[in-house]
Amino acid sequence: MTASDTIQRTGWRVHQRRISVWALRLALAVLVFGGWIFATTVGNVSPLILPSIPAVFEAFVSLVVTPEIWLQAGITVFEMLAGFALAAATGLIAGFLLSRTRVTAMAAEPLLAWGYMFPLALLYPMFLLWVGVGLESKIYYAAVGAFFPIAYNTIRGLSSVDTKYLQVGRAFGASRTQIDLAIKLGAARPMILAGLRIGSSIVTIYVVLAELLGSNQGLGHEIERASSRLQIPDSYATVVLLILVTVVLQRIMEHFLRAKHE
Amino acid sequence: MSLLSVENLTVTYGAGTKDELVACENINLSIREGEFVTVIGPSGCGKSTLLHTMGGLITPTAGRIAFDGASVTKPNPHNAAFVFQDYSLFPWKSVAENAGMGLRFAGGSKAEAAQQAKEQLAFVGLQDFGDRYPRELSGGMQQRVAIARALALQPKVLLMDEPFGALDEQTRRNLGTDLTAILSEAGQSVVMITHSLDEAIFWADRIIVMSARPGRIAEEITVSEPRPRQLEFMTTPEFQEIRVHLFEQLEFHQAEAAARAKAAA
Repeated sequence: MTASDTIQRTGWRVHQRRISVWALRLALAVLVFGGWIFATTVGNVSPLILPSIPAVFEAFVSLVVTPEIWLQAGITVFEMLAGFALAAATGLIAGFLLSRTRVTAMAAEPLLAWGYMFPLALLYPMFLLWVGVGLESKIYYAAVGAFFPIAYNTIRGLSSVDTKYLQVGRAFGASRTQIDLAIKLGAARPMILAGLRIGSSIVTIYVVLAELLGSNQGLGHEIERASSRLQIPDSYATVVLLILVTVVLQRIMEHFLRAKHE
Repeated sequence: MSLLSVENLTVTYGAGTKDELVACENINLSIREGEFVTVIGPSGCGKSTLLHTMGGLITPTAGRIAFDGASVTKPNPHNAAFVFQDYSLFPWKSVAENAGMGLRFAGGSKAEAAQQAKEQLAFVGLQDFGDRYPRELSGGMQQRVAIARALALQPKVLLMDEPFGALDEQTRRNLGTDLTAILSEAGQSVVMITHSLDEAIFWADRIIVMSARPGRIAEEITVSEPRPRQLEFMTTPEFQEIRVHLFEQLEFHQAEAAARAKAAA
């Protein structure tokens, strides 16, 4: 057996594996949609619980041609972006300031970790009371949720910079600003970006959750409204649209928040 | 003329506590202009402490370090620039940025740093790698970038802390012969810490042998062979003679340290 033979065989094996992966994914899709079709035909499940695929498809098509739904989608996307911007700004600044001294970093770290793990959904009614049922409550709520992982990762990243990098700064006489910008920020960048990525997922989840729990605009509100009027295919169609919109938004944010060179 | 001098230096870690540790004791040493000095000694004998103190990274407990007669209290990379054992390049910066970073830290302008980085990278033979990132380079190449970073300051002394410690034997030897030429051309004084007998002799005008902790200077050996040297120097009787002597010396200090540790236990 020659070397190129081995390479070809390895190439073939990689190829085979890729085919298997896609076959499994396809099987899962067939299972889900097959189950859906089975349930709505032979299975006789009530259309109030699970509408048929053609009904949802029809509802989806008529949904996406109404300008109104895009306005609602725009509102949801705006809430997500505004919430993320707010969380990123406050989280990064708080993380940076708290990491300046060892004492504040040590005091803040566990608090932020708790904030991160706390089931904030419990507090949503408070947000409604404080800032009302409009856009702001969604933005603030999502921002608070995303603040914790962003601030936590920023602190962790900035205060766990390898001493060998800091020693280089000292040996070459770096100023405090240079140590912060050229060394600490560079070393902490992957961790800070990871925090921002977690934050961006949290924002999308929290905005949708908040819209479902109490709102007067946005896609979450549309879902809630359609279900309460028993327009179940519309409700499903809106869920599909919401999934598409958030996946696209998430992908875009992830693209900008990816760490390079590490 | 003495450029960098160590006068009655003692460095004690955790002085006054029960973990008090005397790393260096009563060391006197002077580095002349253009001289290549290697420091060798048993592990933990305070070699790195000595080097870091010479560069102003550690404050002496007693005695002082003087550069051109003036006391050294903090690092001044224009006088003495460091090359660290683990390269310590910034993985998030390109090779060119890394090479210019030392000069930027020392107050050089961006343009100046870029210019020096380019020149020094060419000097160490890495002119085509400026846009790469450290992780794309081999260990030996990374160490050359670290040397370029130090040379960019045009320092009078290079302080090298086991610069080849993390490299394999083959790479060490190749990089070693490359650097002999490079450093002879650059004309700096060099203080280099090493674990390797061959390196200690091959490079040095003068070898400083340190005893086990607390680190004291046990012996100074002058290597008279003119620099730059060819690899063949390693096969000469002079080289072999020094090597055998150094080997015995280090064995002796190592055994002494072990005996003292046993007595203390």
